[in-house]
Amino acid sequence: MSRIAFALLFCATCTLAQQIPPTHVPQLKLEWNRFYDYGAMTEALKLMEAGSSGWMKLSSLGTSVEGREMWLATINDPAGSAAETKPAMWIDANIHGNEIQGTEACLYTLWYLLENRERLPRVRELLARAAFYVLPSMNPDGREFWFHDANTASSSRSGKGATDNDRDGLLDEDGPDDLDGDGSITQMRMCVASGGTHIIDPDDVRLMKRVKPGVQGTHIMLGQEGIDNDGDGAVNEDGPGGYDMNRNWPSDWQPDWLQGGAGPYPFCWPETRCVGDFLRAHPNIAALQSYHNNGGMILRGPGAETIPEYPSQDVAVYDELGKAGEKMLPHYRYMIIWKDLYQVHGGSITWAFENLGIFGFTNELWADAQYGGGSAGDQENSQKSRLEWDERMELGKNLRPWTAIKHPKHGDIEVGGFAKTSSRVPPPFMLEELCHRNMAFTLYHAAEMPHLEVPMLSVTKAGAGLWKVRAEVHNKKLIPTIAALARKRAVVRPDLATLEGELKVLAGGIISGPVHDEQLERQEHRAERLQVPGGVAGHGRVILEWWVSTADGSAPRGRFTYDALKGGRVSETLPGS
Amino acid sequence: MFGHSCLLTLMILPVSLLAQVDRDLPGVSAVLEALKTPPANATLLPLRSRVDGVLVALPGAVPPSQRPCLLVVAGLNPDHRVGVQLAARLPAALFAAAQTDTALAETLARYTIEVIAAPAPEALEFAASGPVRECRATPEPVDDDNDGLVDEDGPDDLDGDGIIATLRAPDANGVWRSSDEDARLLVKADVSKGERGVWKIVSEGIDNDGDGLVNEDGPGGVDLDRNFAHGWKEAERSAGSSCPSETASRALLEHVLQRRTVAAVYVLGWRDNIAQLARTNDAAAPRAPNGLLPEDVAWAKPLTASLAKILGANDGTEDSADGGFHQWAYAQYGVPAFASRVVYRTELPAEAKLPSGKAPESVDAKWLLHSDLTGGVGFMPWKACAHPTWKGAELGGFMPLWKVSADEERLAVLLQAQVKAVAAIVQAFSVVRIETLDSKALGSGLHEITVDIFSRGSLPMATAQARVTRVAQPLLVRFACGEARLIDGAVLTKLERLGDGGHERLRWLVQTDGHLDVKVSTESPRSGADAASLKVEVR
Repeated sequence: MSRIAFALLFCATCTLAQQIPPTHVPQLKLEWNRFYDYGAMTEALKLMEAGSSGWMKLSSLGTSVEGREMWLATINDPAGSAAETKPAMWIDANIHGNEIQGTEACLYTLWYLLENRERLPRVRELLARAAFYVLPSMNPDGREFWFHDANTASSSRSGKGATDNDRDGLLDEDGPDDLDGDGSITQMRMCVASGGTHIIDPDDVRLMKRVKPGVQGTHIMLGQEGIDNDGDGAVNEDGPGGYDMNRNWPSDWQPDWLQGGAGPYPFCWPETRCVGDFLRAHPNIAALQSYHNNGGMILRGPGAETIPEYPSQDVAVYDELGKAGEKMLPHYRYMIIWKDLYQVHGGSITWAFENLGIFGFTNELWADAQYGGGSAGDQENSQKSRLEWDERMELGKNLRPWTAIKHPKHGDIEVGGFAKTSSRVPPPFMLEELCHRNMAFTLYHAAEMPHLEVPMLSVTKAGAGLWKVRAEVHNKKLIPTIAALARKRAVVRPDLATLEGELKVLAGGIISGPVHDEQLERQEHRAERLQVPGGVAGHGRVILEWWVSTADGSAPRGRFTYDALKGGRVSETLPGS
Repeated sequence: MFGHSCLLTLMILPVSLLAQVDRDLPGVSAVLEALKTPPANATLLPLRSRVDGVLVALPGAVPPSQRPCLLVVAGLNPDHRVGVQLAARLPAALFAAAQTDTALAETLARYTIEVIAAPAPEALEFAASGPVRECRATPEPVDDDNDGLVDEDGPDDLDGDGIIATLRAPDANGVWRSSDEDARLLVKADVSKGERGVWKIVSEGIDNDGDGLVNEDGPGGVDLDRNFAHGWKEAERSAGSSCPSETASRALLEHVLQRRTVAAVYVLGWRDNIAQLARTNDAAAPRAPNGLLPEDVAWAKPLTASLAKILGANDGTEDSADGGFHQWAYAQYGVPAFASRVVYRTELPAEAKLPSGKAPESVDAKWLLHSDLTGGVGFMPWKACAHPTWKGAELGGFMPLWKVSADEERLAVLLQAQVKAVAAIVQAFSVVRIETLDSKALGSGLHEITVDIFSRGSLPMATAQARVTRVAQPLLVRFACGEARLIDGAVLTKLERLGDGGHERLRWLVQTDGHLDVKVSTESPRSGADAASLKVEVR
């Protein structure tokens, strides 16, 4: 590198460093070492909107089952064109009420974009050509229930529409009960003289250990905290909600007996329906992230084995994005849902891709390996690892000691175990890193949405009163304007290339083939409005050609426009116009 | 004089053709108005759309809205107006029939028939507006051809006769050829047999948007009776963007799911599973079925045969899963579900022949002959048509909607047939009763309580498919024994089905030194409720 170039780079770096000094204090005061319940989330969103100088608009997509607003934040340059005219990234979280930290990742993303929209050129450039739609909580009822009612780490997955899970004609009449009032649903154990299946772990009295068959245990485990609320002989068999909104989307949707939790029909719940309606009404959305927890995964479809693998061109896009994500997110693996995880019929990201042509991922936030030990498959060591972590890093915050209580049916029992914050969610002090890394991945994903330019537009005389107009449209980014699957299923409108002005179009079409052997694929009818069903490939180009005449034989004057639903619109005046 | 009468004839003929087809919008409007004031004994039940369900029930022990119910639905195919007309008249006809039919009166005192004649009245109005044509779509515009334009190229009444006929044009690569049975008919050329197609056909129209296609994106959008989840065709725009996507279909689903008492469904429209029994399922588990489960064939076959006889159903075709409401009702809701075309072809005289001298074999040929024998009103002779882009184009073919039209006289006959069909379905409902409740002293204060529950009726308490879907509440058997102590047995037993012969025996063991006061009740929204009690003074 020459000395001058080095000097220039050095100066630029210094300049940047001066823009964000180490002592920089963010303008928007929000904390990233805590979780936000619905009220706090709403406050944070309003705070950001108020401080955004018009860059963020807060709206409601609709209301949940319990009447909570589904807040949607739109990030768009107020001085630029409308969000709907640009490629847009959709980010949502918390479709499962207990999978909470995606909301914080969404809030962080909004905050980061607003804080750095002027300071960081990369953010500035991205926001100049793209918009963001961010729904921090798709299941506000489930979220609020997880926060403020007794739950496990895995419960309150559902929305709060009452369902008759045990088919006894009653709705949600028998869920878990917080018998010791500690805000978590833990386990019940009973000391028995005979028939015991467990013993207290000799290595750690806080844990229970199953005995081998034939060995006499000292305790039996009675399951989750609860009583037989409805007197039917079963305990906790019909708790609040009882469905899975991530099985409720009309893509390979299967009824409940084939796909548990799917509900009676797709979009039967207001939450999924309002999101589905929004996505369908905004065909400019080209990329999508739907945050879940947990496991440290970057998931893509297909969701079920019966769905064919996506076309290779689309897989290539997914692979490049997913593998980059693995590097940005330690302990996260890029996976295919049905093949590497489990079958999911009616999932949201598979619907978004297969029916709307939106390249989307689900990131399962937080991996147990981030604790530094244990694995999901090894429950005993995993429990010990969690205990050790909880003791040393969180000073015993998440374990409830065994506490004696009186149970209406069993009499003297004890309740205890891990609290709802003990797994699936990161410890608060690790939250900001989780948010930042996942945000960085989504911004990278968003930055790869189609970016069109017209590097070449020419008008050439081809004969008496005859002219050839040629336009080349490039896509500078990885994501095509139309996914190959979307083209195959005809679910995205073809790109449109139009030529209008003082001219008459005699013929037109798309140029195909190698440079030395080009072919004009004529569109037989209405050539002034060419349809480009395949769009512009990622890092690809499309060449369009028209043969036109003019009334007076002079060079045509007019305008060329290329309109891609997911790539925006570019338009150029014909040379000489 | 002769020329004058010729002219009159020419003027009269198109009118008479139209009169055979029920395109009378005022008539449909009158039907919709009438639905707002049902017969005196009927009850209006709100549906989340502009038209309510009408409950047909006679006074009985249980309020009508809580009884097992047969749901009759018409109007999912908005151009099948005879179905709507019959459904609108059905409540009054049922009440009238019950005046003299004791069995029907008893049925209406125990069960409810709910009639929804038009879940989407706007679709009816849309289908009835403009030229006579087949129209299965709701009015909302849809970009059928995915070109970014909406409803830009629909049918056109080229000859101004108020009818959208079939347009055929010579095409060396055509798919269609003239039928060997009768040259007026078109059949698909079988290339494997060396046949060549010489015609292309579309509905009457031109290439309005200049894209080389004709009528590829007409007005309106979604076919309501393809908008339900079983067999729904994802990515087919006419089936909707979801299942359901339309207000009317969602309203209908929610209505059924909230009510929980719908025990059978009967749809009047283009679809039909009565003229031909639904196929038996051969889909590999655990996928959704593609037909009746084998155990359900046992009740479906005789009842379908009975309905076919009542309705004179013929010309059956396979009822392939395609998002139909009645298909959802069986496959996902788990109830017996029937669909009737309502108007079936009158049987032809045995000696009747086509002008070719041949006896008709295909369904179309039979309809053609039926038309010939009734004044030719059902088939429009092919005639040359001036078309801007297709040389040699001709208009003709079956009069749209003629096959499902009926004049007042025929409507009255069809109505009586539907009354009988509806009665036959409801009278097949299972009746679940506690037939015996006994106690047996075992000594030392122990008593065994036994109950026998029976399901009587040609329909089972629950279809085999209902046990798969688990949408329905099982039969709940509740047991209470007062102050006695329950030693063995459950306070709540859930029965997905009854045993062989529709019988289930349950037993409990109780212990008491005092009174024995036992109450047993059964309850299922689709089968009704029953209760029995037993008091024994123990010494």
